[in-house]
Amino acid sequence: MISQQAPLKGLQTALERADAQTVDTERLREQVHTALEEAGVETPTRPASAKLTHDQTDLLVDLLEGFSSRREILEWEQELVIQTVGQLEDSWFTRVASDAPTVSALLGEPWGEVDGIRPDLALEVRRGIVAKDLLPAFHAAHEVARWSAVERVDHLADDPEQEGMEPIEPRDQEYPLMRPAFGEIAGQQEAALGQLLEGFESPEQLLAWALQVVGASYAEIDRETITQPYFELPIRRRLVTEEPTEEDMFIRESWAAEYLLPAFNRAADALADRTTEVTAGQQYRGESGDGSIT
Amino acid sequence: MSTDNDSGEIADCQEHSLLEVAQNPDLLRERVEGVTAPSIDKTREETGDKRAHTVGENLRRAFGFRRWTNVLEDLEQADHPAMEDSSHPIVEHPRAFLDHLIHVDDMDKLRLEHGELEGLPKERREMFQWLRQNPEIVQELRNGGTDWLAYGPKGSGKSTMSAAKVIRQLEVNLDAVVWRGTSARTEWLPLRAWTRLCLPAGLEVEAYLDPPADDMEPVEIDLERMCHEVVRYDSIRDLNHNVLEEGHFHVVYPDPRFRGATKAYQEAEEIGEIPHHSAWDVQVDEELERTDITPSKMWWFAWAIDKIDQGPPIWLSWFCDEIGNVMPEHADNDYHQLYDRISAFRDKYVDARRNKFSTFGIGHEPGDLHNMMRKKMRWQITLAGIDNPTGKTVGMGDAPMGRNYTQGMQLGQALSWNSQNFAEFSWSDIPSQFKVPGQLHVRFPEVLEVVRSC
Repeated sequence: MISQQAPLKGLQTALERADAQTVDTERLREQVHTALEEAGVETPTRPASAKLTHDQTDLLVDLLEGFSSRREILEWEQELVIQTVGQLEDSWFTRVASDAPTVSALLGEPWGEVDGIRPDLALEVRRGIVAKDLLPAFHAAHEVARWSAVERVDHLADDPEQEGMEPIEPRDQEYPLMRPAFGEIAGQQEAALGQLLEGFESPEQLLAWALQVVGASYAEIDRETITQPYFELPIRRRLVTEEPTEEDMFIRESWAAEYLLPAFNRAADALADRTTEVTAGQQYRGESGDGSIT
Repeated sequence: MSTDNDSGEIADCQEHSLLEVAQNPDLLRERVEGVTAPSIDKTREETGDKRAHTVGENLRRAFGFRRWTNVLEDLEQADHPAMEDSSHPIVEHPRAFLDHLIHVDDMDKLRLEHGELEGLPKERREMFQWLRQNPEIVQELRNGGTDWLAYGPKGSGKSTMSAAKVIRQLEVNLDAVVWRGTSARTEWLPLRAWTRLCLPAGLEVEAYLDPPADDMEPVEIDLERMCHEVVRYDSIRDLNHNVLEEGHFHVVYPDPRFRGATKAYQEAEEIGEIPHHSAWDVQVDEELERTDITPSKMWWFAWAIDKIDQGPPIWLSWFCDEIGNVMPEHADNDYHQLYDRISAFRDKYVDARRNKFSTFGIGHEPGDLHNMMRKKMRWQITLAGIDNPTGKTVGMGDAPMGRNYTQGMQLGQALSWNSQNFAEFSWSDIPSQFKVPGQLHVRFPEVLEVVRSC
């Protein structure tokens, strides 16, 4: 139990320190990671949960830090979909990336019909989102993931057969929640979002992308929705152009916020209790056979 | 963006290939000056906060190195090429490699014995925790400063290996690292964003990057932008006592005025005085000629002697690139009393270990280094591209190797050995964003003017 209480404590004190006008976010990030690593146990026995907490920490600190563009907000939301295991409302993603006062607070500068925003107010809003939306969602994600997180105690065994077993380092793990399926879907979603924002060279490419989105959303995107950018010529023109105007970019981003992210969110939710956990990402294993010191 | 904060700022200069950069002065300047060390201002050394990470850890992360303790654990699991049920030679024969890498003193040995690791930087604490489980290795670690001479032909990876060694030094030890700066060789450039550049006070400095393309003009470089910090020192003692800081990487350029250099010999015990004549001295002294101006590399002897004799008691590791130029085998007294200077350093070097002073020399072959100092080097590192000795050596007795191991090695591998044991090791390449095409030249224009007027 100690291992589960202690990280929270570390998180609390770190958050209290953040209660200043300007946030030293890198320091906060470092502190939370260190607090998590040093809390109670040398090596976590449920590394998948620890990995989730580490990844969530990064997203939390990113939000406190604010963003420099709407595109960054969307990319952050896409990661959030994965690390909350789809536990936020679908509409939340649309609202946060489209509601003018919220977007202004996230960017720390005027956006849409909002003329200006005081920095302290912007920070207050961001903190509010962390407290009101993010933490409950992270909580829900842990609830979904907690009992399926594999307990790994091999490295603690006295059994000579097991000698040499290494503990699992959560931060070295490649996949979100240590589940390859999540790594896969995260990669697909990131690519699909990136392509949409970059635009397409031809209508054919747009069609191929539509199929990709079907995969990346585990078919959680509506049939009509995914063909809409192709059939509705005004939208298609915004997407298939080599030199997009600001307006084109606005439409692309808005489409992502309105349709893509909610679908991604449903996909993560659907995937949550159907995946298997593995350890992966420690590619260096065995490299030291030739005595690598790096 | 949330997973990659450490390299985020660096990734920006990846838009252009090294080839493009090498052909465009603006890109070149941006590459040299534009690299920053992420979060270096949050380190233990900069903030004084004992909980913060160190510059060494910061560097290690930026260069994509694993934590040293993880490397040790892997080496422990790896097989020994010749012995069954044994670990990699680095761990199996700690005298060959770990002994010169891990710097400990009496206090550290006590800490290890009693498990009292509070206050140590995290990476060092973790290494000590590993050492506590391997008491037989602790026994093999000698107290105080260490040394090695690393040698290999051009292109054998000496610079890359040295950079890796610097990073490991800073990560696991408390040393202030000093790199010998010269006007023409700047093999330390990959570490520029972490560098505290130490320059003599009161002298203007100019820096030009000589691009690899012949048809391109040299590019002027802003050292303040390029380095983490540029600091000035008034004299040798000022440098050692007030400027050099434990945990930091310093590149030091010798003082052409030799302030405090003769005093270093005068006040050091058991060695005779050797004078220095700066260009300014020669300018006003009618009896001296232009050829009497002491070459700046002679400054290093005075500096090292003063650190060993007059402190401060901080750990200090001197990385001496091209050590064969500073202490050449053919040194004689006709040339600015070079032989006497090497001899004085040799005499003083007896106390180096105790005074936490380490010398890491880098050269082309062991014969380049004067035999007086070669005998003092307790370890040698033979890089791929040159044969390791198998029999009698100068100063090291019989080499422990029974055959030629380095012959079969590839770039990025080397053999570390002393008179008893040897272990092969390897290292990875420097991440490309830190590489700089071309050579940086650092000059003090006033010196050239004064020399001309002599």
